[in-house]
Amino acid sequence: MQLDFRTRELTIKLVYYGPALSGKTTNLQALHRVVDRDSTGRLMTLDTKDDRTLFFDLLPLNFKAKSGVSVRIKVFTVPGQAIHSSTRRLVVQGADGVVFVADSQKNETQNNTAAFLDLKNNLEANGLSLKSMPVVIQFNKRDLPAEAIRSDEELEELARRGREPVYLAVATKGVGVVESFLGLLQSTWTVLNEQHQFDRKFGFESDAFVQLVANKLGASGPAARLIAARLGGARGGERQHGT
Amino acid sequence: MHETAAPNPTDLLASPLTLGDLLDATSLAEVLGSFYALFRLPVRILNERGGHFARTQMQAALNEYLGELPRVAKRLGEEHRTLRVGDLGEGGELFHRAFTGASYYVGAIGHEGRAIGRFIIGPFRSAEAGDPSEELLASDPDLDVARVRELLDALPRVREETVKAIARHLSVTLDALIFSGYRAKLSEYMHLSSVQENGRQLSEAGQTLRAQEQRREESQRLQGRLLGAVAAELTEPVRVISDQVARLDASSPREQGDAAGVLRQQARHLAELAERLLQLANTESRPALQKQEIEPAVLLDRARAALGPGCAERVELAIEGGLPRLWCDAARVGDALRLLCENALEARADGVVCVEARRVPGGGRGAADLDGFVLLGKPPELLELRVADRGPNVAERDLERVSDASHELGPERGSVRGGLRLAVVKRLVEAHEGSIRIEDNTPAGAVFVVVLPLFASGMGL
Repeated sequence: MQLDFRTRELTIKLVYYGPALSGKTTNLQALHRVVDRDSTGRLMTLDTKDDRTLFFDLLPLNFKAKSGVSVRIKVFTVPGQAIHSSTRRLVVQGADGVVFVADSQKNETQNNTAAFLDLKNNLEANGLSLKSMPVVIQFNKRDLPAEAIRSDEELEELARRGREPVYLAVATKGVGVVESFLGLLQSTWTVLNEQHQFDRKFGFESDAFVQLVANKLGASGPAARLIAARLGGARGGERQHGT
Repeated sequence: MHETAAPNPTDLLASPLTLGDLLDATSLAEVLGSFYALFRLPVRILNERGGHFARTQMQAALNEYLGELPRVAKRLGEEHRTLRVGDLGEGGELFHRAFTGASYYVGAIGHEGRAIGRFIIGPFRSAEAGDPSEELLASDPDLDVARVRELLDALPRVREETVKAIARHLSVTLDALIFSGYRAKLSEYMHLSSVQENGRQLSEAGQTLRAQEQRREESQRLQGRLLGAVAAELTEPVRVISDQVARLDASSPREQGDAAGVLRQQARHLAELAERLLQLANTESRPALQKQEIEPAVLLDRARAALGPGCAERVELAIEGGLPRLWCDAARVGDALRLLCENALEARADGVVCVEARRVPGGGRGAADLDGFVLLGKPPELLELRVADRGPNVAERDLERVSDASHELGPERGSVRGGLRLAVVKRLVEAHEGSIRIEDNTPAGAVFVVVLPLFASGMGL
């Protein structure tokens, strides 16, 4: 997070992390499709010839809050392939929040856990802690055949017992993408606001800001309703308070 | 976290960038030259502070002439200040008709929603207006009005709508160039950072190798200690045997009987020591496990029976009902359990040893507190085997050194044989992806806790 008091500009860094081919880039593409043109620039992709992410994707989002504060959200993905570990470590440097994009396929369970462990290690290498980092987990590819993916019931049961809010998504169709993003934005904003008192310093209204972002992302209803589409996460507050 | 506007050179991904970071001024001047050749309109590019960055070579003769007149020059300076740093409003553009009769279009250059500079098209003569103002004509008595009109006529005459369309074209061109520059900048940054990061990782790997080398040397030292301890352990029975044999020749039948008893005891001692050393050698050579499914109750019964008469009846089993079968090398896990029981029985000669088998959730207590709990497949289940005795408590230092084959647990808890037993147990358990720990058995004694996965492979984070 970078805060420039002089120009009243705030920059937040959010990172989409997860195993290879879980749909991180697809999430950013879906966000880019729906976001208001005035609130974004080009989606930058540093990929290889076979469309695999080489370094990262970057989606810049810019919002002007009612209080006059300019909020820039830089949304990054990391390359999922195992060989790019050092790149992932660089990209998570200074991250304010993480969407972990998990592959719903049963046979990807080991890769999901390995990638999450990799996230934990790379955060720690940057002096960050998974315990105090706002994280939401997105289970992507929910449109695959039921026998190939982990069931809703299983995920609901585990999400209820776990710490992180969980969203179900079909990123290729944009399903669950905005919900996951807003869920992370709200968690991140809560943590940053507790640390830096944006509301007191700038007269910033957090709920109004999240609603503004939701509207810019094409949502017509209340942002709270989209964020509430999560499974579990009731214990997320413990994470936010670093317990 | 940074609470200043100062860019952090080590984190380009988060730092605000300037026009100079993203565009090459010389190359941009060439683009502007091409632009001028096409539209005959001069263009200047200014940085975020209004300073010069790039421009077309063409100089406006009108401004050069007016700049030579002191009274007009001052007013001209004010005009230029408006163009350089004047407010462009929400729309990021300004159509400015100067007092000279020339017109200018000013457009913002942005990057990620932040103004990083501006471009100025002009001077040109607007088709809709463009006569010198009364203010100019009255500003200086030395002003040559005819010359001014002549120079004004020399300016390109363009409709304002056309200028706006050209400005949009220029803006899109600059935007594409800036994006390309940003992309190249980030690629360069990531390449360099990756090299640095790889270098750092190599350095770490070097340190790890050095640490491994130190551990290897330490291991060799410990092996030396082990050999020394084993030699010392052998010395006493050998001495006793030699003494007894020497006495046999000149002893009575009763004394011979006593000596035979001592000899048998020492022979058992030597045999056990040899067996432990052989087991340790076998586990160190990591032979393939012969895994099979087995009921935990059967496994424990066999281990207890293997202790032999006099010992087996001192071991009590408490096995949770409904335990699933264990997938393991039954012979080796049985050996490990037997050794733990022997160890516990030795801790107190007249005591009873309790062996408990129960199922525990993966990740130990509070598995749901694990980060990323939902990412786990089926929560892994573990079999916990607890071998509890009522001997002396185990000091904290011993908990960390249970794996040390040469470590003696202290005079109260055994000898070299005890250390060898635990070393063998630890290697057998770890070969099954399990773990072993020691807990105090309040108020007295110790509990050796072996945890084995009930499924093929554990998945805990």
